[in-house]
Amino acid sequence: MSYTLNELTVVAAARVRYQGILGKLEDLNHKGHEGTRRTAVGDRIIGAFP
Amino acid sequence: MPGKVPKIGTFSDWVGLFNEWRREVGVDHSQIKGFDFDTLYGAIETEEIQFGAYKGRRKWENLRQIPTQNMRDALMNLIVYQGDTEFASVEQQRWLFESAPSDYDRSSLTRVMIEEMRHGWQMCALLIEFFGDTGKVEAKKMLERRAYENKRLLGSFNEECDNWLDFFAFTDFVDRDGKFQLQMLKYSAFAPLGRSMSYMLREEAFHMGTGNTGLARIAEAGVVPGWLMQKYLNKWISSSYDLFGTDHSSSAHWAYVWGLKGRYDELKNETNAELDNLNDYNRHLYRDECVTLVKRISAAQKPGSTELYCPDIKFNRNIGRWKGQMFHPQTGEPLEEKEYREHFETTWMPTAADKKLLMDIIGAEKKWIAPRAGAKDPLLTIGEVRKNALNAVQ
Repeated sequence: MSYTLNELTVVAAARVRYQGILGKLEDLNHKGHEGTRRTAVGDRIIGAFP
Repeated sequence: MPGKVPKIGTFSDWVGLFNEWRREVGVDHSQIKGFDFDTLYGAIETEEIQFGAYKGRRKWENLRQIPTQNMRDALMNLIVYQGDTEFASVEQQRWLFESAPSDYDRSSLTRVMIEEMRHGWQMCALLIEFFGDTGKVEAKKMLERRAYENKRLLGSFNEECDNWLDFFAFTDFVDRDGKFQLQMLKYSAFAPLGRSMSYMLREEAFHMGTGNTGLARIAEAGVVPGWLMQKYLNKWISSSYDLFGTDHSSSAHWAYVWGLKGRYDELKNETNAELDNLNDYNRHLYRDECVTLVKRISAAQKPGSTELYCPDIKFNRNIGRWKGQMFHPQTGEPLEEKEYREHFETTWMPTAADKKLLMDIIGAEKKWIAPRAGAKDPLLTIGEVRKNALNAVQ
């Protein structure tokens, strides 16, 4: 079984898009933790121990 | 892959990052490399929760036993901040090896650094073992922030500590603040954290002793002027006051109610905790201890020297009810802005010129610090603490 160059390009593009979505989901997950529930565990400098 | 951050799968992965961090920071010389870093636990007084809403119940051994998600989040927060300061202090002190006043002091610094790194290791081990993917992310970030890039979580741990007067004042007073934090977490309802603190406190004692003895040795030598020492006491003690947090902290309130962080004197104190005033309560206990220690340092000076003092709790505060207000460091009296500004740098806090003077004295006067008589090499005795660990392989 063989693929045309066009078919391979479509598959590769889909894979890149899939990875991108995964990456964004991961970012959102971390931002969600740090920006909401885990407000202080970001990279925020404060003056005191919690 | 560009833009993709490698993840930690196991604690061994984290250890690899820790070794890289040591190389990058420049603290991987042979004495440190040869140390057997390990996750160690000490004994806790009881298996029962000692304060807060869950008092009397059995302490929690894992996250599933902790009743709510916000409690788990608050617990992780406490561990992350504690761990961040441990690695930060090593970064702050990394240049001091070359300027050590004696072999004994170089060994002391090496031991302090080793133990601070082990404390950071301990906190990361808890994060990775108990807090899932989020814990792994936080453990990794702990090795990515840098004090010298101003990225550590607490302001005091981004400040330079590049001379030995700074080092001794830091270990005496900021590490003492650390001792208070460890003690408060030792009573935690999360048993693995309490056991971690129990052992870490034994290591921390050496750091505070190094600082206090070092300052007393400088006072005894009488070469560094007392007024200059006082400025460094003012700098580090006032910033340590801030480290205890705001006066009416809701996070301290809930950490107490949830049994995560107690008062410093929790086991001796039979009164009900003032939940609205926990941080300031502990801050005052800390100052009481500092007053005694500064008196001891002052007494080591030559007869007739000006007495050193512990700065007033209201002086140079950037957090809490005294934030931004102007008070005399010794008397605590409120001052007019003009008078305060005039004296703040010239009389009370170290300036660039003071630092230069200090470096000139240290460079020119070999006897700027009295020798440490009769003490064993701290690296030879480092293993003695380990006998107190519950899980150490002897």
